[in-house]
Amino acid sequence: MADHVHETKMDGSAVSTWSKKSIRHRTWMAFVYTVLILGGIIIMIPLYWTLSTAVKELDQALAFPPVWIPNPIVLGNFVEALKAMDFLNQLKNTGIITFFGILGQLISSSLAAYGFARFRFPGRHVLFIIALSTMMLPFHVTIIPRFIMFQKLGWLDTFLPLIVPSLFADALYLFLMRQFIMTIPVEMDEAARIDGCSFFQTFYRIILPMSKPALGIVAVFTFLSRWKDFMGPLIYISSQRNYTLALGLNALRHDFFVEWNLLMAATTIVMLPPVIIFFLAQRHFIQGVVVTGLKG
Amino acid sequence: MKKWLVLLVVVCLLVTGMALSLSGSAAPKKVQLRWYLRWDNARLNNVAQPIKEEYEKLNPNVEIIIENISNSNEYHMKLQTMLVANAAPDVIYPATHQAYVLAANKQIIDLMPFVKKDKIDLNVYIPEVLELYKYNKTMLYGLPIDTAAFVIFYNKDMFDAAGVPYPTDDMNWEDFIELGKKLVKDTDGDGKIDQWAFHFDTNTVWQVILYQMTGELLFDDLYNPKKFLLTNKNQIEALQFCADLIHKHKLTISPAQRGNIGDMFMSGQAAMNIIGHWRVPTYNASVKFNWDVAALPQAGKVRANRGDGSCFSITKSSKNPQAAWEFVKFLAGPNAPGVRKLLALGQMVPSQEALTKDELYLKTPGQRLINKPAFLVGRENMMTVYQPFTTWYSEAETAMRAAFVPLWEGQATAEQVVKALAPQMEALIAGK
Amino acid sequence: MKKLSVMRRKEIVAGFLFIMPWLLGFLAFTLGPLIASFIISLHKWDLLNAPRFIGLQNYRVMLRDPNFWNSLRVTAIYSFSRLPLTLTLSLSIAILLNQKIRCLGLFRTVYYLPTVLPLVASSMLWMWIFNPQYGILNYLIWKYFKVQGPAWLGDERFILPAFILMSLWWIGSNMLVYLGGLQGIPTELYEAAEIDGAGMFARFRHITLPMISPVLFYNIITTLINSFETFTQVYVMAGDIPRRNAQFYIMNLYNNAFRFYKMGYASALAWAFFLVLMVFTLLIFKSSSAWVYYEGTVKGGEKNG
Repeated sequence: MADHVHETKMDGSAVSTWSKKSIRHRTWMAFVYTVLILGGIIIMIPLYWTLSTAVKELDQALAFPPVWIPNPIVLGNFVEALKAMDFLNQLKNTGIITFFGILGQLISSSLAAYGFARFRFPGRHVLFIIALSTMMLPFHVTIIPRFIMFQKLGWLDTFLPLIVPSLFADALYLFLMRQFIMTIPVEMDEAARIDGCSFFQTFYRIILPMSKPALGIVAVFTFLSRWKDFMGPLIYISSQRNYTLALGLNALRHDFFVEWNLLMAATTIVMLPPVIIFFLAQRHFIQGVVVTGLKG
Repeated sequence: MKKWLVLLVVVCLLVTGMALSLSGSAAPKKVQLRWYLRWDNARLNNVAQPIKEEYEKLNPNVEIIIENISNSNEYHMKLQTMLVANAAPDVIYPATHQAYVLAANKQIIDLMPFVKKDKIDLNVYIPEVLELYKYNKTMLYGLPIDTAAFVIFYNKDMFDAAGVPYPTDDMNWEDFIELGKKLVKDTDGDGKIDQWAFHFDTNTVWQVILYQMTGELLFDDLYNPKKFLLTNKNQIEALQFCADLIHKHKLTISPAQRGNIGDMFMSGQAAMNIIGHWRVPTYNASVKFNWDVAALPQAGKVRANRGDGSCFSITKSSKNPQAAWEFVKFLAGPNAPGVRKLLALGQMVPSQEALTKDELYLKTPGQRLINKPAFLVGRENMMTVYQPFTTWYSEAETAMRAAFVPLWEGQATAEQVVKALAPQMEALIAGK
Repeated sequence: MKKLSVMRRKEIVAGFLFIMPWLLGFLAFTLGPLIASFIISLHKWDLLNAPRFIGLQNYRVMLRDPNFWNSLRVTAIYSFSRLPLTLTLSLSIAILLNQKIRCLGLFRTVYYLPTVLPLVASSMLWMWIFNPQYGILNYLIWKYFKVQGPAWLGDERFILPAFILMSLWWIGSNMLVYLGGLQGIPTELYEAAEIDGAGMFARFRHITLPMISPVLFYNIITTLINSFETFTQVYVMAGDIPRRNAQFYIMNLYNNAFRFYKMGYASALAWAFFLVLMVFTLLIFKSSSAWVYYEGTVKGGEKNG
């Protein structure tokens, strides 16, 4: 999204004769900033509260009235929290699931999107409508047969139930990729075909490199959805060595009766990776939300 | 491209993880036994870990893999999933009623053949306790490890500060209330009460009080329930008495007001806690004040306490039942090293009669000397808080807990909540 | 002529091959399970013993099950109280952000940040905020109103307000979608309206609202579906003690399936959920033709990779 914004007002309209309305405009802008900053503070307070509790001694964490600025700052809480939740192993597990999820989505959604965008075959329209409608279908509806299927396959308590379904194109990403591929001029394909490229080579050499922005969006959103997933691991994963971070954090809740400082330290640790990725790839996130919103 | 940066980060995470996992899994030629526990961190570190080390030292060809879920509900749910997936750990630690359901579903194995082969003398176990781990009177599906008797843990420093005498082993509930009232205080004078008499786990304690007061369990028969007895007038009164501890006598705050502080005694907000031996290692490890225990108060002259507890069982999916049995025997057999180790670490009230008189239990060396006989008070009248022993127990429990919420919050009387609950229980009995 | 038809056939085959990564997944993980789900719902099955066909019995039990109706009620109250709050709040913020302001990027980041956090972590965090004794929420109530705040998650009357309040923390994604919509409105429209003497609210009513109606529509759909699916935060924050007002639909489904192992009954619940969703989606889509203004929908900013 372009950052240059039209000068607009409450209704979004442009301010035309701005010298006359200067005072009104300034009051208005003061109001805008006040509300935005206040709102921002309200949004950030829970995060500050988490972080500050995470570095408090237990006495201060359980103090009334609450202590806003921890003293002393106990970084050892993080060490204890890491130890209690078997962090490295859970990070590895979450990483594996996420990695294959991203890889699978990138490949499958771009392939299928190319199919829908460029080929004419019977039933294409109907199939695409079906794909779109599955976006509205929560996976909870099919959760029981899936569970039974994975049980019969002997996949329970492995990562397979979490990885294999995400190797197949998700409707949302399929849609996003297709819309993007449609903006690539067909002449590019045709030129490649005349040069002797097969369909797949055309896809690989022309479409894929040109779809990078859309692939970026798919990657970050898959990362997020895989990393955040809770119900999936909750149902399919049972032994502790296979826990993901989300499961580990949830289990920790029962390990401490009163040590909310340690719980908040663990919470902070689990929140950190997505926040880092978010800051690194902010553009993709924001663009992804806007694009899916505008096209949906 | 930032996208590549993102991928790079993910790949880095992955590679580090894999490297770590590889370095951790060298030479797996030993017999691996998965040991599935539901303990908190203090017990995991101070009890489970030393036992694992000791057993591995004695049996160099065996590797014990500890798996732990500290919440009893989730423990059982995960276990179910693993059993369905045929990927359950070898040795598990179910509570009495859970073990029964597992045995009824044939998900844990009969230990009788092993017992006979190794000529284990089952008479060392308290007979009433051993009975709780038998299916159809013949199948023994677990070796009992403990009884989960309730006692009063009390904060000596708080009692001293308030100038109140310590609780004694011969108190009844009226004494408890009188004592408790003197401990409810606003210590810093800001107008808010910040010290309460006791931490009240409303999930389990009431069943024991009920049994003390009425001599009846919740259902007419432990194994084959046909009638829900909580609708009886005397049971309703007893239940109301429990709620009155919170809302009439104001000895403590309700579960809702407590929020997610799981132990007010530990956080220094309550002078007492009614709970069992499983808190001993926890308090030993992480409580700074002086504390001791006293027997659970009695109702009038009637004493009673829990006979249920936990056992070690072997799952059907175990690939090494023989090796698993050896470990179970080490953990819970007659005067077994594991039992002694558990005792030496301050864990548990033994299910073996002889051990309750052992110095190791009564005066555990190197541990805070506490009033251990308090845990044995009420043994003449054993009961189980898990009612009934059927496959629909977990549904009954869920319904019961949900129905009692307004009671514990002071929004309804015992009579009202029981009335609302009764049809659900009858439907469960009828098997709808 | 023949050659062309070979080409055409090749295209058809290639097309199907390319969509396989979606089609196979759809068959194996959506359509198949959907049908299987219905079949299972006609059985009594605990996964231990063989399934027993009982016809529509599960559905009859469902209609008489107070837990089912209660879970519908709870989910509906949550979803439909959350919806207007989320929609208006995020639109207001988006309008404010769409003024010519400095640090747009910073504000956008701050407002969007909560939506990227793992739900389990957010739930832990909010549990601590809602803590009746030590949480900041009750502290602020104590400080400014001098009364003891409610027990929030522990109090039947305050569970749903607590979850609704928490959900407002995630207005960021709705807000971004609105912002995209607002930025796409051509300024000429406003200039023309201003010349015609339209006031601020008239312009909002007659230009802004119709122009962003497609994104409004999108936000309504996603927010509703998201609310219907509510599970993780309920499981983490209120799963231990089963309270009536925390009995969300998916929570009830989960309990029946994975706590009580009633696979048949839980499948019936899943199918009922599917039907309810269908009805709602159809209703919203049907009504949308009356108020969603599709011409002039603006392309997203896919140019800035």
